[in-house]
Amino acid sequence: MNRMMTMAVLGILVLDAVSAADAAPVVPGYERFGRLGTDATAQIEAGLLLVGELGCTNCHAAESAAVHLRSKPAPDLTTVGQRLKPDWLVNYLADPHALSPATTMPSLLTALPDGERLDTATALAHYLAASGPLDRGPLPDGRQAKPQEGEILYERTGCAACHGSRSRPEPRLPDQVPLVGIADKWTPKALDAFLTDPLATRPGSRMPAVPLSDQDRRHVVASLLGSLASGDGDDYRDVVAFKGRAWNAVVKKLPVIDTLGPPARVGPVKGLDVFGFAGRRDAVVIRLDGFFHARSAGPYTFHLESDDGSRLMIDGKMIIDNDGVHPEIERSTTVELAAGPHAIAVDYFEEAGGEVLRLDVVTPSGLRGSVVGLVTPTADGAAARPESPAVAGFAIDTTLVDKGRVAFVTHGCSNCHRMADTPGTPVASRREAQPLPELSRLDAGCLAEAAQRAAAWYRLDDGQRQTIIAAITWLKTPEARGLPTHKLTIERLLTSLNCYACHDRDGRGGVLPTISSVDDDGEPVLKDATRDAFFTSHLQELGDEGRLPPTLTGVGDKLTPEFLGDVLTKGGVDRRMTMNTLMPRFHPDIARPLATLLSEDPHTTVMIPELSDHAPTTIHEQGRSLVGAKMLGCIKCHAFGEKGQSLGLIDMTRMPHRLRHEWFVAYVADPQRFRPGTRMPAAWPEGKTFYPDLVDGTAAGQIEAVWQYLSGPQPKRPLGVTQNPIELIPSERPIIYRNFIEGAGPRAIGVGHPQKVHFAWDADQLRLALAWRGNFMDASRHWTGRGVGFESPLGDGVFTPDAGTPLAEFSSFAALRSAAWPTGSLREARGPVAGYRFKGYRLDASGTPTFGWRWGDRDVQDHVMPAMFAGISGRPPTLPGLRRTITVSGPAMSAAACRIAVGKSIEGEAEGWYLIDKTWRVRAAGGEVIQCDAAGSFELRVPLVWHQGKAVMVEELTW
Amino acid sequence: MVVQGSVRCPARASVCSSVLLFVIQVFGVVGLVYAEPSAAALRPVAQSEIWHVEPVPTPEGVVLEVGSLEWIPAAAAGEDARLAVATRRGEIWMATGSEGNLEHVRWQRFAEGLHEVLGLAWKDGWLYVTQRCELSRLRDNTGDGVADVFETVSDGWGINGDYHEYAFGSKFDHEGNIWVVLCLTGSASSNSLFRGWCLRVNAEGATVPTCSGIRSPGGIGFDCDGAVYYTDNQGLWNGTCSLKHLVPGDFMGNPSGNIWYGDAPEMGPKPEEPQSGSRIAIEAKRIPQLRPPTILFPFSLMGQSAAGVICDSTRGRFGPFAGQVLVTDQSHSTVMRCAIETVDGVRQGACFPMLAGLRSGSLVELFSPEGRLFVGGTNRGWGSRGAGDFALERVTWTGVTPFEMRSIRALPDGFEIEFKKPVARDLAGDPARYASRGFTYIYQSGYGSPVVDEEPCPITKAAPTEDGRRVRLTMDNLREGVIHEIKAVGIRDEDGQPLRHDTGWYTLNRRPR
Repeated sequence: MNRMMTMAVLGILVLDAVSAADAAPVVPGYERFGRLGTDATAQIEAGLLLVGELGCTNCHAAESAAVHLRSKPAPDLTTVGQRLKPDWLVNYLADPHALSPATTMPSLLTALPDGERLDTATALAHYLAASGPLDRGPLPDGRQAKPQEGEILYERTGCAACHGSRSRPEPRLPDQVPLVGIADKWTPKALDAFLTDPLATRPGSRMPAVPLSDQDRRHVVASLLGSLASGDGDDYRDVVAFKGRAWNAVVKKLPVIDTLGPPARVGPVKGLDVFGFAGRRDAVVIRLDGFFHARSAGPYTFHLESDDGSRLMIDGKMIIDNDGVHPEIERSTTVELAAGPHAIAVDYFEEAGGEVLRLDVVTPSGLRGSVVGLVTPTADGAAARPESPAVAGFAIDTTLVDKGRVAFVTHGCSNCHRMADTPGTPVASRREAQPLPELSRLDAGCLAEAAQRAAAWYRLDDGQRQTIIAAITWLKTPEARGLPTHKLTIERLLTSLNCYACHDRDGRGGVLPTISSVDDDGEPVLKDATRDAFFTSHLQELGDEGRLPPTLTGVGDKLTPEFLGDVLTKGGVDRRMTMNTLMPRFHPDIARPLATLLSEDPHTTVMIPELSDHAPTTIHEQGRSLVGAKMLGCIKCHAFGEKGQSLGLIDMTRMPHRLRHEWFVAYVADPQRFRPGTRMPAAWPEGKTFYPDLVDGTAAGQIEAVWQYLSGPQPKRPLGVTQNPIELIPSERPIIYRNFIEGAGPRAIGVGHPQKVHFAWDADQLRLALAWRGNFMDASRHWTGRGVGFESPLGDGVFTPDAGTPLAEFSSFAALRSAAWPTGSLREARGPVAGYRFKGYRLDASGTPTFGWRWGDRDVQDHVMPAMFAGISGRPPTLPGLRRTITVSGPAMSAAACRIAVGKSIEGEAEGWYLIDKTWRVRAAGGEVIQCDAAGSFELRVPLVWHQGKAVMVEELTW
Repeated sequence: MVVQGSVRCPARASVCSSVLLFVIQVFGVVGLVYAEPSAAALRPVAQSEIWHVEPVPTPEGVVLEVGSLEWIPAAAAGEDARLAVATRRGEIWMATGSEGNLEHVRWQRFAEGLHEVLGLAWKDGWLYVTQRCELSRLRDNTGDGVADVFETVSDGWGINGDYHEYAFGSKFDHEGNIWVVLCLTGSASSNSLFRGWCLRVNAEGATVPTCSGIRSPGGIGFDCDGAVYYTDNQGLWNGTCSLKHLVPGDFMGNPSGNIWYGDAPEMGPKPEEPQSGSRIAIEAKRIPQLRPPTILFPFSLMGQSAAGVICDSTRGRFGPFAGQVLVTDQSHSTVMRCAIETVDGVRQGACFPMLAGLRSGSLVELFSPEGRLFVGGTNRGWGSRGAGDFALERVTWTGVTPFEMRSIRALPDGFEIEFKKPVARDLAGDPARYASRGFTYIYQSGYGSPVVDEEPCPITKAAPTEDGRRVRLTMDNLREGVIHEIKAVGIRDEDGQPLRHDTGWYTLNRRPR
């Protein structure tokens, strides 16, 4: 990359960064806790944090003060060339703050003259890029990666807690590190690899590893990189690359464009959105014209994918022919192009059905991206457009690599970053600085108000500078020789790792906003209010407990040291299933000492009875009874090896591994003491048991029995984890079951008969919704737990007799024979009755219901009974089924009908039967049956015949 | 940790020492758990001495998950009134003889196949049944004791198959209406018509949208003057469970269901959207339709799932708290007392513990003609302290009056506690024997709330009346919209007996002037 190009790119990037002109490095712990510090101690703490997070001691030795400083290791650059785009590296090294306003990396080049600065940055970039190669291709299965899914995952799983939202209008909190220009920095595969294990290159764990599944992680990559991840190039959605012309025409092959006459639309096209431009998605022919800018001479491969036909012309010559009506087909051609602009034209047509138009290019450097990034409407348009990050070329220059290697050690990069020229050999630094406690002038060098030659330029703000000075000054005092307390050591570690973004400990940090004051209108002013929204649960009714990461206050009392180690070093261990946020994993070098420190929290001590009077098997049995559904019902909420009927809360079988025995005993005895407001009930309120006959009749003994049971080898599943069927079996009289029945709606009324033919009536749509035979219903879904969801009939041969309300009135008898059946919900919920309204049912002496509804000013009775019909010739002698009698009372109607069947196929048979969809049969007992052709299906309609103020229709069904 | 007094050893000596230590370590303030042992006479009266709680034998093999109760008057002289018991499994059972010796209770099934019945009301020979999908009325035309007519009175609300869309129905009010409160869809949204609303339905089926802003009711009932209350549970826009007063036209606080204002022209304009993260008292000043809860039940101190509502209309036959509103808590298997007053046109008052240790999740309650309280419920889907899958219990007053706070009344500069028995005036006049603090909950779109705005209320003066029945507490830091916890820890009656419950919680919506 030559200098001219670098400057052009810089110009654009500087514009982007204007809004961040005043930004200083963002150290989350400093922004959240340090800026509030008014007293001297708080200032010193904030300064110590900054000294560590900014890596000051990498140059300024501070061994005597090491106990107070926790230096953040800089990223390992050994393989940086495989991760970051070299064009981004050039710009970033030349001016880190312009590209990444929040960065904690100082600029070492700012004080150099412009020319030297860019030369040095370019050389460094070549040196770093030489550790490549960089794969610029899209993600594997890139089109499966969904940016919208990724956006949701980004917000829910924890990314947003530290980085802020990328889509919400609320401003980012000061302690959230913004993600700027990611697509310029990362290629999809490199970002995917980084997110898989950020600790490999950043062992400092300020960016921990979130345990997303491969697919979820790729969704996140797609949301961060947009269509670069999929290779679709939609980055240029709003970029005008082509001038378009569109004709409204139905064709089967591309016409000669010049013969088409005046187009229906002419104008600029955004991206490749030809359908938005044409204002239609079918029956359209489109021509796109523009200029393709080849940045260098060499082979360019074009991939043209379309449904229906398309073709591509370069410099007036057709190079891809993808014509004809067809589904998505991609055709490719490689052409040699000279550097500079080339006329490009695309013809495309869509007849009907699905539609796609996509055009990618692979540049001589092997990068694939949408052609839109390199096309402008006019030949001279290139300068006005940021270059395509996906297709920018970068050829490694060995002279510059050597120059960069020297710069890397002379400018001090290697003081912080690990780099190896040959594997395993770190590059040594040649840059030295005064030890931290010996620094005499604290307003100079790195702490000066403007960038100094031979100093690191962090772009600190005044507050940051003052706190650092306060810290260094304090480090020189005798006080600094003392050891920090246990509490302070943990607090410092949690602050530098930003655990406080999700967790609170001893009143510090956490998710919930605080009301900091009340404004003039009496409205509360919330602090940190936007963080809360990122913490969600899919079990909302569990409240904050179901969505907020647990408090770290007393966590070492609660969790076993082994589990603390596990949860910090292994992502997603025993995750809380209701919580969308994922606990990330930290580097063992950081996590192990943290686990050890936390496990030194003061321990709750309780005396635990030995229960030696009882056989272990008795203890286990009684512990199991206590946990089960008949007693304390712990498994109604807690999982037990499986979710079962529970809400899926923390798995009881894992508790002995997770929890300290004594904490468990104390917590179970009084949950509110440990978690004020918890929904976990006190099963032994005020130390009393509801089961004086179990164990030794004491709370302590029973809690211990539960613990021993859970700790035993493979604790036997307690009662109530799984659901037993509750089959409803009609024996003498019909059974009525009003509930949510699949296929019959939320107002279903199931009617089961001893004759083993059953039906479900839909009181919402007023229809015979289902009929079936065999077993009636299993009520266990609705009669255990909370009764969630719709239950299907238990038996077989389930079909739908009435597709909708079976009665309708038509304008004339002719309409009755041919007009479409009225659709939509005709139910009247409120107000005067004009449509249909359910009126309930009556049971006859046998317990069989007759359903009633009002139809305008008429009354309808619908009686459905099991029946046995004489066999049709050649079939069994009798056929079980249903006989249905619909009686309409009220003023006569001239053209009203009852619809008795809707089907894709209807076949007439002997004795008036019709076979519907080859599955069920229906006939009307007496009366005319009209077969009519409704769009795509057939119907049987029986005109209502009125006699003495009534119309009676008898319908028989068998299946 | 300070251990007050000594600890009585439980019966089994073999575990005595370990249990003793356990109690000290785990329960902290032992004084609240065990009585001071120096004189047995000084212990508070036990629940069993005041109320006799008996399980009502339920029909063999029937899962009687009680969802509602109603009395069916005797059909003819000499016959018994019957207790109708509706269940979540959709049955209605009739019990005869439930006022007498419970061994002789007889059961007959009146109806089956209904959809989760949570309301029963008797009128003119019809049993009105609020089920999930509609308000129906049932009747036995053939005289065999089994319903054969199931008429739909109103189905003027939506259901979509979500289990959370419950419907609770009241008894008839003075104007002949049943009030139906409708849970939101899935606890957080309103995806079907009028979810999150209260509707009134008259016996002819006319259905009138009445109040909006409901989240997840646990029951509905009247006070002794006929005012309508329902319980709403902790969740979105409810920092804790509460008792709320329903007045036509009001918005009860959860805006999820306000999308239906277009279907309810009689309700006037849609209320302004409340500000999440605020306090209900602040928002109620800004939003005229928003009615603050009458009583906030401190979460986990006074239950976790407020449910049934009834007033003690027994004129003393049920004991010393006649006229008060009794609210059950499903999760804690308790019955709580509410002493409600009206200040500045707004209802508010104090809640106290009353009955504990019921056998299942107590959901519904009903007084019998003879003044016994029937409590029924289930813990299906939501756990309860009482471990029974379901229970129906009868509570009879023994005639013993406990030493309790009867009520707490707000004063411009403090509160007045009324006691059921005269207090020892020397102790009662000592402000150090009381303690008070105020706290409340965030009014927010998220689920529930931590306790916030907690501040002490220093008590400067305690003035007992001449008859020792009342004590006026003068205190600082009274705040509107805040629960004031009032503890009378060291108070004794004239016989030296301590209070059975020494704490009440007063929700101060309006400070009297």
